[in-house]
This record gives sequence, structure tokens and C-alpha cells, in this order.
Amino acid sequence: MNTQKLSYKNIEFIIDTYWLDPISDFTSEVKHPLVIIFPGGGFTFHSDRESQPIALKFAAEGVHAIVLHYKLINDGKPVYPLSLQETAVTLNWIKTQAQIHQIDLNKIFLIGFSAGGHVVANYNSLMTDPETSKDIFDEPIEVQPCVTILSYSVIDLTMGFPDNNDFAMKISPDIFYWQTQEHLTKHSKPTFIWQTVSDETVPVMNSIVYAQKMDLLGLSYELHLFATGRHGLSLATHITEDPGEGSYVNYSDAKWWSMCMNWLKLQRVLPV
Amino acid sequence: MEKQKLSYKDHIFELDTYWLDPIKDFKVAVNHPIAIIYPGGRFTFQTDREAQPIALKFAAEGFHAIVLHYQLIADNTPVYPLALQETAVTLNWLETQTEIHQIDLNRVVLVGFSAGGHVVANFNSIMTDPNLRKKIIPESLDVLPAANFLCYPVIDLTAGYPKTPEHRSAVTEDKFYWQSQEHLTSKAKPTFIWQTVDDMTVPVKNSLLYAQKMEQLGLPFELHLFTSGKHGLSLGTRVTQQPGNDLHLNEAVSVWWKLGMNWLRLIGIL
Repeated sequence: MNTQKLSYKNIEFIIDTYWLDPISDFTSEVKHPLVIIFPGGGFTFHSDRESQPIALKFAAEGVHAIVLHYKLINDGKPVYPLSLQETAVTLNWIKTQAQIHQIDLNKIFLIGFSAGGHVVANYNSLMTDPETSKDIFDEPIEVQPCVTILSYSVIDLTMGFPDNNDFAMKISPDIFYWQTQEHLTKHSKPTFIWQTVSDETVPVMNSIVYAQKMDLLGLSYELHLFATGRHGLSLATHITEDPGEGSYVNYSDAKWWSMCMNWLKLQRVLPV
Repeated sequence: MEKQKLSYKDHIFELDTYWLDPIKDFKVAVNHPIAIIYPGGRFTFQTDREAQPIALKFAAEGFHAIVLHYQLIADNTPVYPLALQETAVTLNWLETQTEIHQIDLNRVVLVGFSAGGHVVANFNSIMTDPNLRKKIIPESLDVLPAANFLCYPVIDLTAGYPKTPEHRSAVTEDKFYWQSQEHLTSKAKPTFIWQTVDDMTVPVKNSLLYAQKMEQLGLPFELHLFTSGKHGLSLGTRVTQQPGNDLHLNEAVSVWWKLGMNWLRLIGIL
């Protein structure tokens, strides 16, 4: 893993990069897809449980991985619009790396967990539409994601997470950024959504309203709502189990990973 | 498989029964759960692709299984309320069979496909609530299902299927039975729902409506909406493939069966 500093208008942010090395005895060059990972952490930190373990799982599937340390609320400044601008900067930077690292720019995708899912959902709603994105990011976005993945995602700041208005105002004083589902357009990308119905942190209605809006617009999606399991399962295997916290292991829910890989094949992001 | 005739008032209907035999060298009797299967077929027939293959899969998991030949659209007889009354009669009849067949009446599961899913969804909404139920059948209902499976179900007759008002009215003129999600109460049972998003026959909105209402009421459910696959996949494997029809094979979607069995374990039925 390497750490890379990028910036938007003099505001620096950090990404972790996990590059696949070229296989030198291949007779022709193979370009790889690339995933950008947005870990959760209630907009106040980035959970390691949703960072490197996810990056390495993707790497094992032949996907370059980046963990984006998107804007948090700790310095008193809001998450939006900066986290969307950071994502756009990262996408444009990836283009500059395509030759060096053999990246397939048509197969860039975003995965967000919990709070990180809110950033991804907002990106998919606002930044894939040139009409709305130009008000947020004044340079062209040269590379767009082809699909997104939302894991127990915060979708709408008025639907149970955060549980008070003050917190939502810290995330964004501009309520335009609160309800991600409201800005979905026909430009939005196919999305894989999963959550547990018994999630006590982010109510499952968040996933339902995003899927429902995608359905209304005829957008492509897949939705898996497992009956039980806590919030923040990550892979739901021993790899991401907080030691001694058995509730982080749930082999029913852990099926989301293989279903997600199936779906990425269906979307032609992974080779069939 | 054995056929069984039952009746509600003067109306006769038929079940296919698949009973598990007791295992003689067990020292104590083991009571088995039972699945009642409602195949789809547009309310005009019952497809075999969603009948015996499903019954045998359940049998392989240690379930007794019954295929219920529920009321179809027929000469001036609508589907409702008869399909619900037939189900109630079948459940009461199970009680009379427990001695013979070692049935665990606390673990009855209804499994509905497509149009059959509408009957199951309505049963779960209307018939699990004593106040609503007494308008449909005067008799007492002694056995209730513990859980339901809704496989690419029709939920709301105004949500894209049927396509014509005539077909809708033939199912029932009484609008009370059209929108199964509207009658869900706190008495409704845990439900496993799955469908494909690109279902061209029954819009996926149907499954979303039922899940959303269950969520609003705090009822337990699990929902899987797979991106792609035709309507009527049944198992999605070679077992239920119409010869030569590759659209009936769908490996990604066929995972629903395993997910469903996991879910039954979770809610204590397996």
C-alpha cells in the first residue's frame, strides 16, 4: 500500500493505493478495473475494518483498489460539497495513472459503507449528471464510475441517521446534500445495494428508498436485504471481526460478497 | 405423490401431497415442517415447473409438501375469496393428519410463485388477523403458517399485472382483494421475498411495495432483488428448465434457494 496526497483548491486529502503489478510473462498487456473505497465511520472517522480488508478482497479478484479518506466533520467544516470534489479530483488523477498502472478507465467503480455510502450515493445522484455536477465541480470530470456499490448505506439524513438535526447540519448545512435519492437521474450508474433489515444504526428504509427511486427511474440495480445482522458487518467474516465481537461474524450475510462479484460479472466489470 | 380432495361448502378442490415417511430406527418420533406450494400461472393455470420440483426440494430438506390447486379464474367464479377459504380448509385439515404423518403444526410455510404469490400475500395480510378473517370464513382457523415465501409475486393488481382491467376483474371484482400489501397487520408472518429487477411480466415494484409495508409495520422480512432474470425462473436450474429455453437457467438467481434455507434456519424453522 502507498499513500498519495491529492488536493482540491489547496485543500489536501489522502488516498491509499493498492496497485496490481503487471504480470511480465503475459504476452499482451492486461488492463484492470479499479475500485474506490469509501469506508464508514459516522462521518467522524474512517473504519479500518472497511478499508484494507475490502481493498485486498478486490485485489484478489484482479481489481486495483484505492481507499479515499474523504472529508469528515471533525474540523468543524462540512462533508459536502468537499467529499464530492475530492472524489472528482481522484477520478481525474486516476486518468493520469492509467498508463503506469494498466487501468481500464471504463471499469472504475465506487463502493461505500455506511456514512461512506452517503458520499457514494450522492456522487451517483449529483456528479454523474453534467447539469448538476458543473455547479459543484468547475473542471471537467474526465473519468466516471461505471457502477456503484452501497453497503448498509446512509441514504437520507432525515431517515434515522443521524438521529438529530444538529449532526445533519454538521455534515452539511446545505440540505441539498441530505437526501441522495432525490437527485438520481437517468445518468446515474447501476448500483448494488445491501443491508440488514435489523440494522439498528441506519434504518433499512434508507436502502429501500434508494432502490425505489432507481426503480421509478428505470435504473439498473440489485438489492439484498438480509433479515438479521448488525450494522457495520463489513465482510461479515472472521477477517473483519473485532476480536471477541462475535456479532461481526454472520455467514448468511457474508454471501453479499459473492453475490456482488456475480453482479459485477453481469455488469461486465469483472470478466465472465 | 397422492391426490387429496377437500371441500369448502359445496366447492371441491384438490391437493397434491408429498409425505415424508417416518424413519423407523429413530428412537423418538420426529415431527416435520410442511410447505404448502402455490404455483403461478396467471390465475388461469398452475404451472408444473413451480409444483413438483419445488415440493421435492422441500422434501429433500426434511419438509412434508403440499401443492394447493387454488381457485383459478373460471366460469363466473372469481379467485377470491375462494382461494383464501381453500387455504384455511387445508390448514385445518392438516391438524387431522398430524397423528398419521408427524407434522409440526408450528412450522407451516406457504410458498407462492407469481399469481400464487398473490394468494399467499393476501393470506398473510388478511387471514392472519382474526378481525379481517372472520369476514372471509366463519369457522375457526386452528393452524396458521409460521412464515411465507413470495417468489416473483403479484402483490398489487394495480401495479402492472394484470395488464388489463378485464383480467383484474376476472381475478375478483371486489377491490378489497387487489392490493395485498394494504391489509398487512402486526399479525402477519415473517416473509422471504425475491424477484428480478428486470422482470417483464410482474413489475419489481410489487415486491418493493410489500417489503416497504412490512418494514413500516416492523414485521420481519428478507428481500432479494436480483438484477437480471426472466419472470418465472422457478429454481433457475436445469431441473425447471423448459427444454432448450436457456433463459430458464440463471446461476446468479438460483442462489435464492440457499438464501431461503438460511433464512428458515434463522427464524427457527429449520
